[in-house]
Amino acid sequence: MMLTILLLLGLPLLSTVYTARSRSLEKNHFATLATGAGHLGATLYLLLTRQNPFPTRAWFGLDPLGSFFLLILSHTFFAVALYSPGFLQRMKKPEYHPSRWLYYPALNSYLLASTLVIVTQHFGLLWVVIELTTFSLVPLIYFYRSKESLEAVWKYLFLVSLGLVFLLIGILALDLATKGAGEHASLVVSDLVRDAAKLDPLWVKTGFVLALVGISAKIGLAPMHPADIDATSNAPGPVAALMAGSLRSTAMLVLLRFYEVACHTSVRVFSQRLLMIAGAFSILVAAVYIWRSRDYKRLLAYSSVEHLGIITLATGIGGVAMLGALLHTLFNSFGKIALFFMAGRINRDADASNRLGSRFNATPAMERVCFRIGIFLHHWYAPLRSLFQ
Amino acid sequence: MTNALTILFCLTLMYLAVTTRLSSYVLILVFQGILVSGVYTVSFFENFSAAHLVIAGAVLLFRTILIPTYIVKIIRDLDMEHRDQTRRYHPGFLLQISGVIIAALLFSYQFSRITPVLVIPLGTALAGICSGGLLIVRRRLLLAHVIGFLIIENGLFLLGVGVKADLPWVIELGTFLDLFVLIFLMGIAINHLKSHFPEGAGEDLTTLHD
Amino acid sequence: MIHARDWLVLGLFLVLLMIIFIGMSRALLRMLQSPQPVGLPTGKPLERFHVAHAVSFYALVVSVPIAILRPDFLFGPLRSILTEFGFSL
Repeated sequence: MMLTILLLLGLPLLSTVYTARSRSLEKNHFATLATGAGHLGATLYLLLTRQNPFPTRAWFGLDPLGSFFLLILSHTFFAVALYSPGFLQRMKKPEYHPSRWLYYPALNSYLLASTLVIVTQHFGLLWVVIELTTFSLVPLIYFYRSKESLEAVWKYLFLVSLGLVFLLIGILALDLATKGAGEHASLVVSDLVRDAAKLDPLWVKTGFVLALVGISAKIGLAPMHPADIDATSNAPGPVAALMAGSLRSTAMLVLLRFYEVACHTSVRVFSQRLLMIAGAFSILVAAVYIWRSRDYKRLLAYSSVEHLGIITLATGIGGVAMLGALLHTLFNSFGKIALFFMAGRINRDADASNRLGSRFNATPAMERVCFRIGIFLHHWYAPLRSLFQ
Repeated sequence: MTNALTILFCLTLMYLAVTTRLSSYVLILVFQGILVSGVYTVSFFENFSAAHLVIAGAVLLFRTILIPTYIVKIIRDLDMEHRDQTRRYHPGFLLQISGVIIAALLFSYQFSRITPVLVIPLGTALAGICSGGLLIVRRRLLLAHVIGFLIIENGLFLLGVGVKADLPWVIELGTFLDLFVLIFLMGIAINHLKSHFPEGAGEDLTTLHD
Repeated sequence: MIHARDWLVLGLFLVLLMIIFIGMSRALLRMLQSPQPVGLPTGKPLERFHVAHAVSFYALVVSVPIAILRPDFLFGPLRSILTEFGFSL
């Protein structure tokens, strides 16, 4: 069990320190790839054996929900680690030099921060570690060091942090809800679920609303989505894949933790309705902007808004739909990685426009086929998949 | 004593509404940091929990010394001292802040009838959060937005006091560290932004749109 | 039994999804039909198999069996998650 904890947390930490100090991009790549492989191996082992490597009722723990989202994170990170050397080899302009050196340390710190979010069971600590994911992404989003990416970074940093202020107020509301629950009440998820009947429903409701508003900026749900759209569309391909494939899912997990507590109280129906409204509104906004968009990376970013909207809507419906929502989270991650990688391949020159049609016909047939596979997976296969789900 | 300190916090918000100088905003931040630290020191003397002293010390270190010093450094590096004014004084802002403070205190009083909370700290906290938001909305400079964000965070801190929240001190320290790193990153971003947008105004950030 | 109100909601949802599907398809068609801009090299870059291509095919190849076969190592935890949330299948 110690080995799995070392692989999940220790390895990314070591890799962050090593890649920050190392002057060789090749060694950094191998270190990152080894970290990704170790992390994925540990995740698969824990998923197959259904074990929790952490002590019970501690601030850290791995429940089935955590294992599932850990799989999404590990898988996405490993794919990005495989893709990164080719991407960095193309980025040889002098202005990208500082970004190349920051790339691997930021990537590994993102893995560490996201793993911490997934394994943290205490809501207060959850807030602290989710801010770390924002910080680790800043140098990655600012990779191209252009005016547009700087504006995207500023908006992302500012708006997501403002959103997380609301999340913290939501956590304080949850703390208020535990006041009448006895002296052993705490903000650990399992304790809240155990004491659910004694929680004050008014404060649980308030906490859930504030958490939904706050974390929406990170998930990318409308109307809090603009910063996420700008950041995703101005980040390099692998970073956008990371954001769309795993960051939004990890943020979704935070919302699900609140939802898990709410589901055991009288606030269940209210929280389900709220999720359905949020999901439906996101789908509507995405539908409008996808139609208008001329920039294919923004198109894919709005597609992420749509898919997270579908996931949120299905989570709100509950029952079998929630099973579909969870599966859709996984498949959305697969599809988004493929799409953003191919978007990066289509637009290999960073100065070229992302506008539709400008370079597509000039790209090799294999890349056009793979991009079409990604679009198919994402938007035409979804209804078929939902039949099985 | 806690009530007295939080009322002084409200007065700093009123001063926020009448001043237009960046250096005054920094002084407000310093003073608010001292007041919030004072609130925790008073709490220590009420129940002699070492955690309160640790948090009071952390507030003094991060919110009163480190963060304001870093903001002053940004102001110097960006050569903003000669144009300290963010906007001409407008009495409407004072009226808005006053309205927010009154509404927050009334809301807090109504709240205290439903659940046991500290009325004045809670009202001040809500006023702080709303005032920080108003500052972000009404001021052009990005640095003023950062200061507005910090005022929101100060209000958030008082909110924990007002609702008698019981977060472990380790987590409180974690939030301070998070805040410091966030302000550090924002400072770096503002430095880089200056080369593209010399005015440093929020309305210049309009390149990205659909 | 699906009531009339449910049909309306379902219909609205399907219309929204169709708008998105058609929007993405239009984007794809625009890519295929737009002429090459002036100044780009006339020869196409060399076709080489890349990890990005493998990821695209892998995504398709993996997700179909998962959806059809429903392996227990994945669906077991998913059922546990639903139970934790108070839902049953």
